[in-house]
Amino acid sequence: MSDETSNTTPILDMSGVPLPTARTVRARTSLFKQTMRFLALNLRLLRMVRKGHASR
Amino acid sequence: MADVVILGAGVSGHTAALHLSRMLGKRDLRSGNHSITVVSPNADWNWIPSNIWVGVGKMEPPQVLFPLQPVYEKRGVKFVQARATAIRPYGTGSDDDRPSVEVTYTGQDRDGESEVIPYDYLINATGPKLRFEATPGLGPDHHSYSVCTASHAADASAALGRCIESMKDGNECTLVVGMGHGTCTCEGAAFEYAFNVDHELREAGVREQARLVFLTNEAQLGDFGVDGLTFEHEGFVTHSELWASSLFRERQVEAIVGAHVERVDEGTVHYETLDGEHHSLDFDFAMLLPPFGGVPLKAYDRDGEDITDQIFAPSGFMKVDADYTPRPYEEWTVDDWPETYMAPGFDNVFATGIAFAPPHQISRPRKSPNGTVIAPSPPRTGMPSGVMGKTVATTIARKITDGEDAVPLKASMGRLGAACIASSGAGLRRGTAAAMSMLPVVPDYERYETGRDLHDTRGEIGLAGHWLKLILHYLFIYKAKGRFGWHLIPE
Repeated sequence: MSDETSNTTPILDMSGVPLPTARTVRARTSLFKQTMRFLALNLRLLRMVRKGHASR
Repeated sequence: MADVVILGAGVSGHTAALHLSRMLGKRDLRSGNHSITVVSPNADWNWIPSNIWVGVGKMEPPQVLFPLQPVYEKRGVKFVQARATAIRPYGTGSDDDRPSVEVTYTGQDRDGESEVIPYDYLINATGPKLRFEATPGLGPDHHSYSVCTASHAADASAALGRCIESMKDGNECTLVVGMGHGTCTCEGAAFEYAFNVDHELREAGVREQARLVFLTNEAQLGDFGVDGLTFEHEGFVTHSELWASSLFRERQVEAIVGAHVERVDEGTVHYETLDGEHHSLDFDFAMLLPPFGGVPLKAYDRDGEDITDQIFAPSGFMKVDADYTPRPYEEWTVDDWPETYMAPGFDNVFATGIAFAPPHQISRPRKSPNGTVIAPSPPRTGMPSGVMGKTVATTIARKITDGEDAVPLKASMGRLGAACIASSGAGLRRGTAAAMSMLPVVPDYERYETGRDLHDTRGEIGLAGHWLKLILHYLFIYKAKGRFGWHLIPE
């Protein structure tokens, strides 16, 4: 703690954080895989909407 | 006969107006049996989530805006383009002794004129006041940009474009994206804008010359103002901190966490971090969101006494059926959160969306050793905001048709889910998105070990989220225009 302005920029160290593999990165743009994920995402959102409304 | 007044025409207020007009019936509204009056200082409706795309030049403001008047005209709803200034919930003591709202016109050729609008039911859905003034030098009138409104976003896009041009000329630039105060909310929006900027820089072929820094009040990445998310991923139970950090590392976006922006000068942002240290960072472009406060509204009793502090929290948000007893983080429960959004003592006044006063944050509140509060405020936008609007509209419609004793409906954020899709790029093949969903928004550790349902709380990256965000853009604008079958589209 200090009233002085520090010259350093406290950038978060993310060097230990895992990176995706090339396969994972490819899967993010695979039309087949993403079409499946799109359907799954929509179903999940619809389920959330149904549960949210059911809380009334 | 009942008169309903709705303050605000954002996601919550507009949703409430549309559903109320459907429930009360166009015929009754046109014949004057009932009335719905929407008061909003803006003539246009804005699909705010897509302002992010306006902010990087992928969309123009007319693509995220449309005029409200024709939509309301078609539905028999009266639109008053004005700013609400005061409410008198006990009545006025005059001929029409009903409670009322005082408004000052901002358009419709009546700028500056005042009017008193009596009501039987009131929904306060005014949304936030953008408190740029909380941080000296913050905001589009000073030294940073914002994407809170379509015009702010257009200005940000122009400035970003200038920065990219400068880099094309061989210069290096530092771009700072994030939160302009320690108590800001909507970290998800800043996160989305940061990755949109990254995408634009890559598309323009200048990513190597750019230093992109995400400056946030979150104590760790992936907090998003909801205390982070725990979800299943590839057979592991993991935390959104790891998930978000991986994306930052992959896209080479630097991050500064636990930061309270103290001041923004021309080209320099000054901030304090949770360890109490003060820092400065020079920038060529900065998009920093402002903290939110309640829209300034006064409240008076029948004798004209100021009762603002009884109706509103110090933040300016309206008190509702939440438990506002101050408690430490460890004692917070999902039961603290409001269910009916009814103002205490008034069964005809409701506050929804950002306008209601939350009982406390969702993320653990933190202070620096200097006493500076660095704690994300709870998000109350998007899906929950729309559901609150519809829930309160249904409560009011039931009270009108079934009588005052009709039981109010409930929509606690401790039960509602939400989705946050941070999408970048445009087109069906070239975009990408980080899509998160959570159920419930406020963690419930009695029902779920991790606070949330692991089936519905997820995070994933890919084209699918981008497609969903694009579809939601067109779907919600269609719905908000009240077109055929609009009410079948969920909030």
